[in-house]
Amino acid sequence: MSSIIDVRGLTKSFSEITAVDDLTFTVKEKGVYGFLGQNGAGKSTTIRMLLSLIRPTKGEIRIFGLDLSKHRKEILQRTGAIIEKPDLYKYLTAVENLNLFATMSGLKLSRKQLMDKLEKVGLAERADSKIKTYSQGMKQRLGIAVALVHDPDLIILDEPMNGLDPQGIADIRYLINHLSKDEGKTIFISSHLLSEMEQVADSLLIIHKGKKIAEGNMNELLNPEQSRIEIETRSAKELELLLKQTPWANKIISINGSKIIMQMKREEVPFFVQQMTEMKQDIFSIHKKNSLEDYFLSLTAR
Amino acid sequence: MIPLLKIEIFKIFKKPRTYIAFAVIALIIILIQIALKFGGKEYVGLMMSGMGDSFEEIPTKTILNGYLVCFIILNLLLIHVPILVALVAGDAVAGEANMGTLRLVASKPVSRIQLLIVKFIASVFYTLLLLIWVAVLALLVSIALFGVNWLGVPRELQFNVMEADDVLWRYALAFCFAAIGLICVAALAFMLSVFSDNSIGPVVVTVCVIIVFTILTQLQIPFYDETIKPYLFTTHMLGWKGFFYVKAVDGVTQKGSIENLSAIVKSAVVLIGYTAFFLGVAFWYFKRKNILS
Repeated sequence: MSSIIDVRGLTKSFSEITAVDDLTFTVKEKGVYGFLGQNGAGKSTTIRMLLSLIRPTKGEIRIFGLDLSKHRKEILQRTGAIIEKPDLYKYLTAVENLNLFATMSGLKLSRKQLMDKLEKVGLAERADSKIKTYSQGMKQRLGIAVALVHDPDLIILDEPMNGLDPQGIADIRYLINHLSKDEGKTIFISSHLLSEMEQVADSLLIIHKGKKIAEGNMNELLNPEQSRIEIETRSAKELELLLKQTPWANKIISINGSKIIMQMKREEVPFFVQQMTEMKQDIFSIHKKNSLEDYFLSLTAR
Repeated sequence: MIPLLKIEIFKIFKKPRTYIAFAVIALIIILIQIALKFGGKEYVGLMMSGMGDSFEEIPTKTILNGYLVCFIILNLLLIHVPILVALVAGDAVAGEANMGTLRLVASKPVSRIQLLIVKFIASVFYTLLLLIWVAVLALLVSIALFGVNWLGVPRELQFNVMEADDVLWRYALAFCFAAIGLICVAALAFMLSVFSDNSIGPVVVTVCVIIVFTILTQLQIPFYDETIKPYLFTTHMLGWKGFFYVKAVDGVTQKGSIENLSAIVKSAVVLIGYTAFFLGVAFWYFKRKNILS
């Protein structure tokens, strides 16, 4: 699989602040690439640099094998994007908005073609309504229609689920899966909704304070072989002292009140529970914690 | 380029605020025409006071014809039209940033320079349409209401008289000159628009600049005549009046003459220079601008 986005040493400084710091990553063709980070981590700045809205201070961006600084137009012709909330022309109708952005992408579409595209996002019935009468979910769907109007190979979505109700989020999730699996598009998506990202992304890039802290295949990163176990006991501190005298010591990750988090292989869990019983330790509950949220928090809480 | 230009013009004329300028101009011109229709005698009397007895016997109807009414309207209005031009030109880029559409537009496969060119041309198109609207209402409607006759233009203690068949070409050139002046204002508002992320700022700053410069232009203080006034674009925007100042030999005006053509040309060149400067700054900055909003 060839790479669609190839970023090397990308840095952006605003006066004294370095928003993105020496970021290097590669997005392979097809599939959904999740881009995670806390607020202010540098996600939006990175996405804006990928769309040439912001000039990098340093570094190189290659998309479709082309240097973005030299082939901006060719790259953007094959790229569709939603950047944060999809702000469109409120005083125009959906079909007028779509036609306008299609024209900007070098297309001349008939009303029927425009209506077909609106139909795909479920807005055909409101095609002639002004955007100011639209709900947030409808605006988001129209934003997606705008991003897809020129049938791009790469779709960049910055927080596409923001402000949507559960149905809206489910619709976007379905659309992302459909675009990726059925139409073979490459999707680069940032979102705060970690559970949603876990459901749609194949690969992940996590940044923190402008720097990359993790990158790779979702399954490899979450590593089901090495489960994170949360154990609730009478006193986590006491248990920790006890465990430090055993081979389990190096499996302790953190302690929080009465809970202790450890990392161990799946088959080690029954053996660990048995030993705790022998050591007369009261175990009130034991949970496997392998969600993306846990992984993300364990990285960014450092 | 043409489809992009059509888009920009389409966007301008889909905004309700665009029509405010046309409505305001129509209202002002109609009010002036009504006032002159019913109270023209007093106005002409005031205008002619100090011009000597020779004009007293001329009927008001002869003096207050469509050409003079148009001149009066332009004199009053051409100071204020720039404010209306700023409403649209100042909104061209900043309005998009304010709405959040700039980032979407700038991420489309159109170069930033191309984007700015079509936006400015669309602002110029609006400006020219506004000027044509002024011309239609101020000249054609005034001619229809007041008829045509010779044009007498008061000028300090002089009275420049032009034959009826010597006037229309002067108006045509005066409107062309006014177009240069208004495009200069549009360029100023446009430049400020590129620097701003909200549309009110550039409009307000442009209006403030015009008001301050106009006050300085009209201040009768000799110190400013050579130090500041020659460098203010508002001073040169008044150059259109030069087309109505005619040469006179032995007290008789020369048909087809312009008293100081070189001054008019100089003013036009200064205005074009300012326009080029404003646009140069706008293009230079926008090409490098980080689009954050």
